[in-house]
Amino acid sequence: MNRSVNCFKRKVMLSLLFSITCGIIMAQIPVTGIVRVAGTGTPIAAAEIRVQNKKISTVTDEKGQFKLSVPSSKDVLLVKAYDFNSTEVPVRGRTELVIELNSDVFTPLFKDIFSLNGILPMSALTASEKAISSSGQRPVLTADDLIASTLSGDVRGISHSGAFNQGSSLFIRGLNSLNSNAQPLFIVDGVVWESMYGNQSIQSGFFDNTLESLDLNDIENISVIKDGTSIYGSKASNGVVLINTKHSTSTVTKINVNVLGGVVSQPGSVPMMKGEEFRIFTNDLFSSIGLPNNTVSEKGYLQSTYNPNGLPEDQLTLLGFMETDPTKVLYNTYHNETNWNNEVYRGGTNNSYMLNVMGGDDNAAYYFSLGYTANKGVVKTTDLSRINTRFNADLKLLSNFDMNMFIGFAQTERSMQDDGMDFYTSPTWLSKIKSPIVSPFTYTKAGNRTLDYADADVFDIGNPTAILANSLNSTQTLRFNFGVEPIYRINSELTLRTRFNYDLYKDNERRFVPMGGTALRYIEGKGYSENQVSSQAIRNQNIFDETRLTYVNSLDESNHLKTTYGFRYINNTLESAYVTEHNTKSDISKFVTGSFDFLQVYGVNNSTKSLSHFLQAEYDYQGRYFLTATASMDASSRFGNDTEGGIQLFGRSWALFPSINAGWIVSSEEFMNDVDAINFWKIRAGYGVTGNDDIKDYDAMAYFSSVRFMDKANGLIISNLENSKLQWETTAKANIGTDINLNNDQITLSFDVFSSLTSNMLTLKNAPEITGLGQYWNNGGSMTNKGYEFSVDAKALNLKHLKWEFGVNVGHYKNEVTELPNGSYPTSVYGGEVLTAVGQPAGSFYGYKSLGVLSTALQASTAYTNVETGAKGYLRLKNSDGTYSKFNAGDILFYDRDQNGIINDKDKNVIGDPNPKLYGGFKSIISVDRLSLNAQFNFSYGNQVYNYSRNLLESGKDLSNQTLAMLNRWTGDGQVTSQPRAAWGDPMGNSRFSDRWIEDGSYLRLKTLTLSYDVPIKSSYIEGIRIWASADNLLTFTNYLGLDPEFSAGNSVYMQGIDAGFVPQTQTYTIGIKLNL
Amino acid sequence: MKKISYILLLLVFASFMLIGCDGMLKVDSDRDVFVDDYGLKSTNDSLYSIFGVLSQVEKLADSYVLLGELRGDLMDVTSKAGPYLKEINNFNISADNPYVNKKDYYAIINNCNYIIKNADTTLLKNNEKVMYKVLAAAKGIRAWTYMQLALNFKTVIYYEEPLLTLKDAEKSFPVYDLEQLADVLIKDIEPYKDYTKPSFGSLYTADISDCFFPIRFILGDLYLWTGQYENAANEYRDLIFKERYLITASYQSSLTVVNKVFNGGSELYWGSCFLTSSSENITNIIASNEYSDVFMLDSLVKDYQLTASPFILNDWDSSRYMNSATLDTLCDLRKRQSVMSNMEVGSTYFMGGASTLLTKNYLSKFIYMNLPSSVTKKVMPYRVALLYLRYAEAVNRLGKTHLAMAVLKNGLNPTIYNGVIIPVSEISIPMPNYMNFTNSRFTYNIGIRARSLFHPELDDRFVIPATLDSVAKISYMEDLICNELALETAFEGNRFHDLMRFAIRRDSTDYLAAKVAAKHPNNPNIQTILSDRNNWYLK
Repeated sequence: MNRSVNCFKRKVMLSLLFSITCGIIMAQIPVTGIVRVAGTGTPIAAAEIRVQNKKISTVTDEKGQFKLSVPSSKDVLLVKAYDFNSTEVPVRGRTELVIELNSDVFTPLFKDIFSLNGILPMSALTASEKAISSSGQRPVLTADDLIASTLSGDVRGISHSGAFNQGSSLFIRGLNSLNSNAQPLFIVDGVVWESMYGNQSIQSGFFDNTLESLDLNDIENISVIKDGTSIYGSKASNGVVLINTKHSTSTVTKINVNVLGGVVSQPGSVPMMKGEEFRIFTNDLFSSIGLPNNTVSEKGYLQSTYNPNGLPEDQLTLLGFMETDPTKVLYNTYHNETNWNNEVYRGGTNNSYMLNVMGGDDNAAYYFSLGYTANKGVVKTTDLSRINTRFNADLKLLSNFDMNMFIGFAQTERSMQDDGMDFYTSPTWLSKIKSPIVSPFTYTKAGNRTLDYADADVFDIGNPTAILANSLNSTQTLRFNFGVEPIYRINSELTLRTRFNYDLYKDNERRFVPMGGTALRYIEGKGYSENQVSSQAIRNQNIFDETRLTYVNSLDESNHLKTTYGFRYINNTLESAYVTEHNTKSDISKFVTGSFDFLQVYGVNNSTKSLSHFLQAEYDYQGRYFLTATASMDASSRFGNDTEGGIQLFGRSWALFPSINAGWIVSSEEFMNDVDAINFWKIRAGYGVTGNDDIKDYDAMAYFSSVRFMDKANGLIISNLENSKLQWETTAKANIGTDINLNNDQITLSFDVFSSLTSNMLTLKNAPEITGLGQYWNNGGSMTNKGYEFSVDAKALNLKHLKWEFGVNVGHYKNEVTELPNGSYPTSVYGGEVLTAVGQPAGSFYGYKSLGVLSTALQASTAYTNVETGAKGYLRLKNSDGTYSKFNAGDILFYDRDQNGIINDKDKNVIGDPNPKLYGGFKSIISVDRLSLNAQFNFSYGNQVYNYSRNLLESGKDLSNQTLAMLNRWTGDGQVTSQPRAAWGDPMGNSRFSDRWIEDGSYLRLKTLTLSYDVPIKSSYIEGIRIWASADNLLTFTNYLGLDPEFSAGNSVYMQGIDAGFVPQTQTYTIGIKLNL
Repeated sequence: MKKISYILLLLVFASFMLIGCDGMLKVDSDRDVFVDDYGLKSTNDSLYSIFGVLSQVEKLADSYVLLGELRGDLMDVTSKAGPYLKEINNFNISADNPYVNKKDYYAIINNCNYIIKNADTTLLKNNEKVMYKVLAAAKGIRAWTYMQLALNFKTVIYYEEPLLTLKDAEKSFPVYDLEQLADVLIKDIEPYKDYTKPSFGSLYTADISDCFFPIRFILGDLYLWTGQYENAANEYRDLIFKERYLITASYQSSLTVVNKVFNGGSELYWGSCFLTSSSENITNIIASNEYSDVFMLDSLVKDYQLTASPFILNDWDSSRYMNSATLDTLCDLRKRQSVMSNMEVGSTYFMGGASTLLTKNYLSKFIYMNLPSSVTKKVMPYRVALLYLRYAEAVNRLGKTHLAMAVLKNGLNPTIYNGVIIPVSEISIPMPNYMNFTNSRFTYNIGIRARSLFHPELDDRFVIPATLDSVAKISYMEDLICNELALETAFEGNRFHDLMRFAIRRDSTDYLAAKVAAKHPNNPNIQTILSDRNNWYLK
């Protein structure tokens, strides 16, 4: 943007000269005024005043006074001054003006920002758009995290996990798709950024975040555009995020150095049972299946495979860990108090170094940057390093021919450990469920501890310490892009430009699950796995070209029109290869060879091509009335050839996406003359249709897939039917909004109401049986989002030295599924279920309702009342063999919704909604001269979350260690408690997915607190030094029982509000220095 | 004017972009093959498509055996059996039972249809129209699959076009029962009965040509089901003759005799019928033993989820082993290689072992089809003994009861036409084709029972009572055949349909119901359920 602003400035200078010579001739209404500092009233000299859209301008004198003649009383003056935020002042027939400018410490309100078709003054926007300008001093690493923390009321952003660089799930204005991508479209330097949301890491709990290759220091600005996005038609239904990287802003060479370092605190743990508590718990567990609870064997080994349905019958008496005699050999093995949390976690560190240089001359300007980031993760042995470089150049080749270049490269390497609740391989999860009585190390027969890692213990739970030491999990990601943009100005009105980009993304992952330290795993249909090696390689190549022909015409002084026709072509090729095999015989062989057990190979080679034609007209009347009309026409290789929506042309189906947005600056009207308190008031309205083309490649076509026959030969089978009707999802959005600035920009209000309807949603349907195929994707069903966004920003204090800006930013949406072609359906997620049903919000938790624990045998025997006969009896459960089991004292009393006395699927109901009632944030910026304190709070209110970790840690069904909550478990008749009894295998399903695990996920979090100081230094070498310190996640207020109320188990709509036990976000303390040379 | 020319230029350009778009949007893949690129124009293409079909046939292996046997009277579930196995055993099958899935059958049919419609039959290789073999193989697989579908589900939806588009798949197609289907299929495959199997070599040790279903066998079965016994007998006989399928002493088991007394020892060779290299193979459904998880049968057996019914155990135990006219005992050696008592999980040694103290009866027959040392595993829908028994069933219904008996007892060799084994009354002149086993290639044929009962021809109790009238003789002999099918082919997957065929032929629902109900002494409902013929079919 700076490049363009620069260009813009030059134009201003030209027009200034021009106005001095000829402005006076055109003058009709003389206007005088003063420009001064808001708050203090000090006059501002050399402020520039320009009449919008007209070549008339002037500057203030030393007293801040100016004199100007404007052609019309309806004109708007643009006022700019160095160190101050610009403003726009409507003349409204006045002849004497007092104009107050606010320090640029405050958030600017009238700057030029990037929109979908170039740069616009904020006041001319017709769509709902928010922007973040460049930021140097943040410990966050990726653009999505920055959006999540800064625009928290405009975008509902949720960090995936506390692991470094994992990114966030972003939802703009609700949930706009069920089965397709619901994440916004990223446009980086004008190029559609391939999100690769479909890629899955082979490490559990990790996400491919392609934005990680963009260094925040390279980003000039980010704009979030919520409606009026039809120019990106079939890709824009989830909103658009525009990101622009830096270009040289001046011909003077500038060098910028950023260095930061920080520490990340070690995650805590929910309070878990201590050794003796655990031992008593296991006694309870064993007695629940009628086992003698103190059977001790010299062998001391429970050779069971982990089997929640019961211990193998012949191996029940070998409970060496019950040994109480310290003289016995096994005593020491089972009398430890290991703090498994400390075995797995540690404090982490972050370091980042960044250098950028910009400069050039009038014909060639360049921006170059080099950055290095290193992180030591809070999980032992995990780390990350990234090296990134960028080169952007702007060349003026001819007087009417420019060429811009964009080159970016980033390489990230990380070592990781499986995260989340993987029973076999995740050290973080094992650290929770592993009993404290065992040690990470083995014991000799004499009872002495060795330094050898212990294998999985007697409870068949792996040893996280050994896994950390023996596993080998790593990822190497590389992203390279090369882009050029030739711009040919045909004449003063017509410009032809094309943006070409080549993008290459490569990801190589390897994973090794050791046998030392992991529990033996049975793989259904295959056999036992001792260890496992896997590797995955992904290669994505994207060729992008967008050509725009722009026609700018001022029909007369009042009417301005900008028309753009363009077409966009995207050709994406995704290749991936995944190999996994088991039982390499030894932990020394950690590489895939293709010769071990259960070899499994999978790969894709997908190509997607899409083509779009678009037309946009932006019309502006007197800087007061704005109208933007856009239409695009999209075709894609993913669409069928005979779709019901859109039009048919040249043998293809084309989707049509129109939108219209209008803006009216009410404050520029003469009838607002007397309302001085309102210095700016705009009303916006828009309606547009966009789409979602995130259909699986080739789904509309018939194809054959390769299958293995006899593990040796390849065969081909029909795998997909041609569904020529398969099409994009359609989202129609309506928006009405208003922006009001009060009291010379002291208070800024913005309010938007929106409503959207997504139809033709992708849904799975069963293929006709006779085809022999499974399910296929089809369009049908609809969903609405209705909501509002509100923000207020106030300059609470505006003194000479002390300035305080405070802002609140709140969003709300209500999602509702309104139509489903095949009726409602549940989706299994992490041991729970979400329901998709008409009338319910997407992602609703669907499970049983619990009414406490049956305290007494009498209560249990009368828990059910037959509605017809009035007879009382037990509530029962139907077993898989057709018999019934009774819910006894100590079991959960589940709500028998259909009152048939049997607790089954029909008793399930919606038990929670992961969608918040309100989300957003507060910000506070206090600056005292050179010192500034910036606080950013985020909150979510009224959302429910499913605490899956707690579900397992309070299930009382196996030999996993449990939380202290389980100390209150029911143990005897008459005990009133909320925790049911411990029961091996949980035969009554007390720990089933029920409202016991649904919690209020509301929270308020001090996301970042930054203190920065501009060192007063004036030297010919150093232009400025800023030192800063920042703390992340310093405070969190929540009732949530888990470690961190902010988590996202995935980008899918179905995955929201599910705590899958990933590494929690912890406090991070960072200090940094920024040098301008 | 200049502006207008620019705009015109732009319009021309835009329309070029629109028209050119079809090519610009055409996509390709190295992993998937699109219809346009896949024309079956070469033998390689046909290889891929046949292997594709065979990979789909693999999916039927488990359900073929489990639906065929658990619903019958020979195989039973244990308490360790999973709920889906119990459901099949109890004729109470839930909608999500993975062993009951019509789609698996139609997937084979649809893929076969594609081959049949697209095979380039003009293709010559070594001056031979190679594609006819592929065509015949595809038609055979398709017909067998349709037959299974009709036998299991009563009716089928019949179509001959490959369904590649949703539009095509939503068309309405005729629904046929077995009678109607047989008519259509017989017409469809009859012209292909003389084509040999395509030769695709071997994968591991498995000969791929053993994966195809001989057209004559299917024709024979279709004729048998529809009461066209002479046609059936002719097809079976011609298949035996042309392919030289023989029952000889090579797989004969025997008890060791020392000093004219059984000494407890035995030499067991009958189980070798089930090995990959056996000459008993006609059609195998094969899978790799290495990485594949398509067959679960061996795991089910090893987990002891499946066992043998008391009826079949007793049936074996009450067969009469004839060492000589004077030395005999009650013992069928097929039992020792069909079930075993103490098979350890993962054990590599299973041959031999005592059979007297049976507590757990593992179905060891499957272990022969899936040797731990072998890289392939299989089930055998068609094998030589079954072919002979089907032949016996057909000729018995033609009134040739003694010829049928000879199949079991004496062997189909040139010596049987001596007026004793086959009475003169049964030998018509000229001898019908289906009776003709006079060729010298049949010289060493022995009776099916002779492979496990040594000299059944000496058994004076195993005869057709002369007192019976001709109708009763047929019925008597058919019972013997039905029982021999149990003794010989227990657990192989054909039992329930065999019982169905006999019951339908005799119009005696009870023939099936009573036999199966005997397996369920504690569940009287089974007899009631099976008294309704509709319940013989899966929903």
